[in-house]
Amino acid sequence: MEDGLKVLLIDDEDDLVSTLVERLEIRGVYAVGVNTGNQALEQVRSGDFDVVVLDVKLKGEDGVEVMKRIKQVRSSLPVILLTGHMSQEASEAGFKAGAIDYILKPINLDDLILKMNEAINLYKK
Amino acid sequence: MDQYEKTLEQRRRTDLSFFGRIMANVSHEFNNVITVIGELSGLLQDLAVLAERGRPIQPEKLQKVTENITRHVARGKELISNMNRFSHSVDEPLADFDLRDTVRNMEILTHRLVERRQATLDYRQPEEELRMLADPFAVRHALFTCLEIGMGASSSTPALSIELRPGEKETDILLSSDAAGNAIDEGESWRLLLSTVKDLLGGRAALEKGENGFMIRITIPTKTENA
Repeated sequence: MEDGLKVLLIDDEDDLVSTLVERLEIRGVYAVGVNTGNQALEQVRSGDFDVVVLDVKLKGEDGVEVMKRIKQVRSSLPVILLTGHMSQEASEAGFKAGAIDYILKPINLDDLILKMNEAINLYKK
Repeated sequence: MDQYEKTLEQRRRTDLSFFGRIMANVSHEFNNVITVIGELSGLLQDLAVLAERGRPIQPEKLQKVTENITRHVARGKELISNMNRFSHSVDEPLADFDLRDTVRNMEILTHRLVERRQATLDYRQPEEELRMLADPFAVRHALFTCLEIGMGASSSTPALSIELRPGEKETDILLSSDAAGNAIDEGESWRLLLSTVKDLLGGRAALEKGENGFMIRITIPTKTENA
């Protein structure tokens, strides 16, 4: 169980977001899922999240740009990028823009939870 | 390398680049399909573990999850089948095909690209078969270039539509956009479209600008002359 962990998931695949939210909640993680950058920003402004998991390719939006906007609202919020294929250039751009880690699709849920905890611990230091 | 060879090499690279972009886009979307199916099957496993621990499984929940899996399997199957048809379009430089299916093939394969651009694409498929004898890959390339031009025009959420107008000897493919005509980029993509339509399909392309948008008209012979 990962009691107390609060995560914001952002991906334009509706079924992916809702299923991940459900699977994380089964593991004791409080998760909120949204599909767009604007919805994510609303959540970041109003919610008290420990970590964000963000797809790099959203409908009509660049995930890295969404991350920059999230960081403007809460610079201390760790962001993990979610991607299908992470090239060297793309990962460098993501890290440069403030991502703490990335995870590849298809997702290994145990890896994701591990990475979320690592990200939170790194930001606490 | 003489001028002819240079032109040919340039053409090969352009075609390969188009092929690569479609494949990259489809592989990305297919990866999303696999990811969703993976999470849904993971959820079933989670529910089974919870049931072992004494939490009863709701039949309607199982029904919903399996229906979702079936839906995404169908989505993946449609992608694979269209990717296969697209890949085989390079087999013969001249083939007999139904243009309606070719346009539908490209509509499916570019769906995510269109969505990512926050554009919409409306394709009104004619009821009657529209047989053509032409290069099926070149037709796809021309359609894709048209779409790129349409999506590239400066409108935040471009509304695009494709219409086919069959004629006795020639067929028109019309791509309309609600973006202002003066916003259209008549640069590299436009030159590529003209070259594909003229050199590979023996047709012509024209741009019609209006107050409420623009229209690209591709006119190609229903049967290629040298067939």
